[in-house]
Amino acid sequence: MHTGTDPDRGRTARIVEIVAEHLELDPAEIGEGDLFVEDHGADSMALIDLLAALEREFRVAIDQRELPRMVDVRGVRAVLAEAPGW
Amino acid sequence: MDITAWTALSPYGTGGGPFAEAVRAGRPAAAAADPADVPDTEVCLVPGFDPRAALGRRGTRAMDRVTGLAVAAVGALVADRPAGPGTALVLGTTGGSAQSMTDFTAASLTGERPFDVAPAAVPGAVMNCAAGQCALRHGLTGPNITIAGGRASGLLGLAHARRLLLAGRAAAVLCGAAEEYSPARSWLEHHGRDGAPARLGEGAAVLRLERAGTPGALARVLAVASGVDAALADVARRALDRARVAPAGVWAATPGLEGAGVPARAAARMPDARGLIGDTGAVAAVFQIAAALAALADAAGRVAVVAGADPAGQVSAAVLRMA
Repeated sequence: MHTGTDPDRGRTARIVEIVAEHLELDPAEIGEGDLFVEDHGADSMALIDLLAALEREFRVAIDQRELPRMVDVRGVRAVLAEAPGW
Repeated sequence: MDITAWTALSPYGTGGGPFAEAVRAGRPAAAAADPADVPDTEVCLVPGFDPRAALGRRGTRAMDRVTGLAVAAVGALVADRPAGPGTALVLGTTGGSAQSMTDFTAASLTGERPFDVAPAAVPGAVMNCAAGQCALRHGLTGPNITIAGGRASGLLGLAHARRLLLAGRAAAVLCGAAEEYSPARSWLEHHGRDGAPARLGEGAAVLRLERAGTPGALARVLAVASGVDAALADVARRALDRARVAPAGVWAATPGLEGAGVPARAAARMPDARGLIGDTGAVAAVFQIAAALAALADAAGRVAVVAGADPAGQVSAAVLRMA
């Protein structure tokens, strides 16, 4: 279990908000380990759109080859943590 | 080819009922000041319409307004009678959503980086988005056609639908058009008319077309003729020739067809959709046909001519016989 500092928790909350918006759900409906595609019916357009939204929000650059790792909120956080500019 | 049903999502609200009632009463739609602040203009919006509110949360996050209008209008027709297998869709447009296109370009130019754009906006910036979404959401598995003919779209759509039915490509065709109001469209129209005032309208209207002789038909489409940079009266005369209808026998017609031999009193019998709900762009001709069907419902056997022209040059006319 990830126990981060306050800024980290704030960023995770924002990540969940952005994920929820792109999966057309309420943030409360997204669990940390919920799979975007299998559990929430996301399609490839929603995923690429999510990647672009995260890039804009956090002013980072994410290689599209990282998409296969961005299957849930944990995966998104891990990819962001390695992104240049994070 | 017969028109067997129609619906309208118009500045009068949702459904053919409110539209028909207002057209028969000759009551103009409420107009509001143009929110894009174009000088001396007002706008007739579909009251309270929002794609997300109308269609639900799924698949509507990035849906543009013109697609929402089309999906909602086609949905009303399909809810009334489910579309059979292989039902075709022919949808008219001016050029899709001008707002989505300009927003996408603007985001690339004004964002921190050129690629700071929303990929989800791409489908909405393509002009066949509305027709595609209608098919996906309503299970229309037949031919899916987008006709970009501006104000003549609805009439060009009739001609295309007729070919689909004659060729056996579909047993029924949902044929209509959609146009959104947006600041982008308002500004484009404003500059396109050298600043002259206008009253823009929006909405979507859809006809169901089936083979001639379908029980319960509302009207028969006898002929359609089209041209580019042609006189409205010349195109109407060609349509009347094809329909084998003498111009003097036309009961109701779009104004301006006296040159084709259509009596002046015919224009007085045709409701003026544009005068009532504003310039609805690509839907203009479909709203005009719907207005004719509403106003001439008691004129069985009478012939009506609906003609339309787009400033880009497309001219088209259809000859209908009321059932």
